Amino acid sequence: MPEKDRITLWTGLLLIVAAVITLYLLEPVFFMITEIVESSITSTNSGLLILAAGLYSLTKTIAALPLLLGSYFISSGLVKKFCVNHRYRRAISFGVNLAAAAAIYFLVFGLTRYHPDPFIPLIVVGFVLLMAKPQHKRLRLVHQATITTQLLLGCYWLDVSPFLDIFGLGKDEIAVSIKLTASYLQSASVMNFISFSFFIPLVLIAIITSVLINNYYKQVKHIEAAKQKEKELQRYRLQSVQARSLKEMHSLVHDLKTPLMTINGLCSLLEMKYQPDAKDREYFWRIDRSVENMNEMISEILYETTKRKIAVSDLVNYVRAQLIPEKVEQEINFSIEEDLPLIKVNRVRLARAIINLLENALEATKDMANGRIDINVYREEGGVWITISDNGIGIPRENLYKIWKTGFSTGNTSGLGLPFVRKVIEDHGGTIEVSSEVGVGTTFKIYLRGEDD
Amino acid sequence: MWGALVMRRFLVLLLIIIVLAFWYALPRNSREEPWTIPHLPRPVAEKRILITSAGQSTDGLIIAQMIRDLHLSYSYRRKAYGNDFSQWFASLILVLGYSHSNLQKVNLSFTEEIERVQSLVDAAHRNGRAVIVVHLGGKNRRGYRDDVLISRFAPQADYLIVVKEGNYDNIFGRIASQKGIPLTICKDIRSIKPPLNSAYR
Repeated sequence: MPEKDRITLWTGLLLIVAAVITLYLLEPVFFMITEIVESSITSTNSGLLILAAGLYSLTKTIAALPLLLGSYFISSGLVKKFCVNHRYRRAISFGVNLAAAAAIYFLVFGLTRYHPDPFIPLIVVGFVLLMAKPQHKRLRLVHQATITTQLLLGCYWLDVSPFLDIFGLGKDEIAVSIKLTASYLQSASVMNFISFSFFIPLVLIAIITSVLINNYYKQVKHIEAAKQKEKELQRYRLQSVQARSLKEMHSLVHDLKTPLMTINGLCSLLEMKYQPDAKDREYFWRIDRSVENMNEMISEILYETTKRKIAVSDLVNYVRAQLIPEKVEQEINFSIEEDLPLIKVNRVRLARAIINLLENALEATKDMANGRIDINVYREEGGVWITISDNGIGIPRENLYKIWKTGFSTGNTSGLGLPFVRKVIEDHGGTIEVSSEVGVGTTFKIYLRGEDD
Repeated sequence: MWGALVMRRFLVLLLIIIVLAFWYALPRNSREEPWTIPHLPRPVAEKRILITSAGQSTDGLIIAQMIRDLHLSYSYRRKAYGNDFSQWFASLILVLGYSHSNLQKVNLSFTEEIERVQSLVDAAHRNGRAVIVVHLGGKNRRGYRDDVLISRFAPQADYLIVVKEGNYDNIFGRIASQKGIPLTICKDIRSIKPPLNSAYR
């Protein structure tokens, strides 16, 4: 069962327990109301009777509120569990809510030997009609309690109306006493008037409150949707700017090839023209190698598929040279096994991917006193494993599968980094795994094929 | 739009309630029992009166107030037992009506309450005193425990005074005709005074 539904069920059960305790705690109040009714008989004071009726309505509401809410929470939890995505989900949920809430209500009142009121199911109907709307899924406990309180207060005023006695309403012994006393004191019509004067406005207020809350949530939903759209728009704008910059950078990098060719050509020309000695030849050779290296790097930047065989230590050294830790507090350890196979990679792109992971690790450990990042490289399964571990804040379990999605970010980043890392590793025929625990740290494991054979 | 939908549903619900209520309130066939009399032709009881509520409802206090208004000598006791029905009392008025919270207040169980009232009725009959049983309530004073009290004590009465709504199923009419007890059915609580007076004057 999802966490949210479990919380709903437990809240419901807690409310039922609270309701049973409330029923016993309210016993002295019921005694007090009876005493007020008796005082109104002995002093023939109908004012006291109205006071008793008001206290009765209030006390019954306090007693019934947690019970009704608890019953509703339990029933809606059960509906969610058993009727998920059913074609007639709304109709079923309405029926089950009604039946379960009424059953729990009667059961608890029956077990606590309190006289269940026959019209309570009608309150439940009203309650469920108003509340069991899909739009109301996000209604918080306080809003449900507000509307239910208004409904209950209004309905319990009907209990003390002598006019409704013929319909069997108000079977509670205190309500019957109040009605009989009202008849004895010739205040039946006053009591009728007062009970309807409370019932009608309170029920209308409950409906209006319900509509207002619903509209409020609709507005909140619209605002959230607009914000989400704006966020997505910004992301697309950013992506477009990045794409443009990348294109410009590609042109620029491509243009670097022309002067390199000139250097290469002129260098060969000078070598032929001046008949250099051994030392000068060494210099010419080194210039030539550097130009060639730069040329290869430019190719790697320009063409993703350009790969060459390199030693893993070359890759790591290249990463180390590129990485300048912003915070020096973190301890960064490199551990590279000897005798590793060569790997065929696009060094620039792969180094960029590893740097991305290291930057994430630095970010995760930035506010820690003993921040530590370990980079281990070892041979296994005929290939090379590169693990990057940190003892930082970690990633919550529910986010572990989301981190590979483009745009997902918990901070202020673009959410493009890890999808890029994964793509680079997969383009190299490798794999990447992540394991993390909140408060313990995160480990990324990269596997790359060896090129020894 | 949602508001209109809720309003429509609420109106439908209200309509259903109204229809059900009218169906429930439709007059049922009832016939007047031959034992029904407007009041007693001659007094059957004497003063001083012991009034107690069988079931501990507040109805006993209402009858006590009526007796006071009639200037009849009385004593209202919630927890009177057979021993208390001494030479000072010449009649007993039992007011039927069950109250769970009031029973708790006087610390009596329902069975103990029945035993208490029975001991009073026995004491009255032993001394040849009249027992008047009154039922004030409407339909809602006819719960399961109320009916236990009615079927237990109404047949032991010398005179039965009930309010019309409480006799909707003619339970008192049946008891009265079976036991030959004079019965007065009053239209409301205020109409109880004349038959009550007729039992003493």
